Amino acid sequence: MPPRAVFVKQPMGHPLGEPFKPQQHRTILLDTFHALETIKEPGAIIDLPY
Amino acid sequence: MRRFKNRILAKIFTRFPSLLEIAVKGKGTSIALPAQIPWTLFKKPLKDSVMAIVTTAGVHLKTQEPFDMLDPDGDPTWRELPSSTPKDQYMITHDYYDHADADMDINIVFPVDRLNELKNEGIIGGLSPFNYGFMGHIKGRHIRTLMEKSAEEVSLRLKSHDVDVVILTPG
Repeated sequence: MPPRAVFVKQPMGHPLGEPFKPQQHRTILLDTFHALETIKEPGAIIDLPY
Repeated sequence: MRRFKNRILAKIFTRFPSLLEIAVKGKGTSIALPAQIPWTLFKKPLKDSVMAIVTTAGVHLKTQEPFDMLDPDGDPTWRELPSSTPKDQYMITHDYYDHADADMDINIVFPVDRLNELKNEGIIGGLSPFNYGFMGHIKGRHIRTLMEKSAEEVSLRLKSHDVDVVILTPG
């Protein structure tokens, strides 16, 4: 169990999104950083809306 | 033959995730859980934080030994991935998910370019000189090796590079 996690509704093999879509990758990373800064409960998982 | 079957299943389950849910339903799990969740409150500003990527997507360098796909229990070893590696020197060895898209753009499982861009923009403090790759299909006798040897080895290396944040990415 990781200390904190985000979940994305992407197929296996696509945790950061689609190939050659840097804005998607960036969005997921920035939302991941937001979770890093705001999660206070060990083991919490945030479902991202995409 | 087993590798061919695993690759076909990986393609099917990637395209039809609901089939994967059906396939694993009721099979239980052999996941070993630590006694407690490792936890440190994150306090350092992002703009000052050094980040590293640890991926289980089977990423390694073309010059490194590929992960063992013949052992049905997987491969608990790891590969060190210098952040300065040219993109065409990465490759993926992993039969348990369809990595055709990741083969074209490694950033969808190993976002090294995106993190460099965020560093250049001052959003993060920096990228570790080294990242780490695992192959995530681990079961049976290799779970203990992963937990008691491989994980500790990589943790010590991350610590020696003064890494503040590790981004874990699956395949």
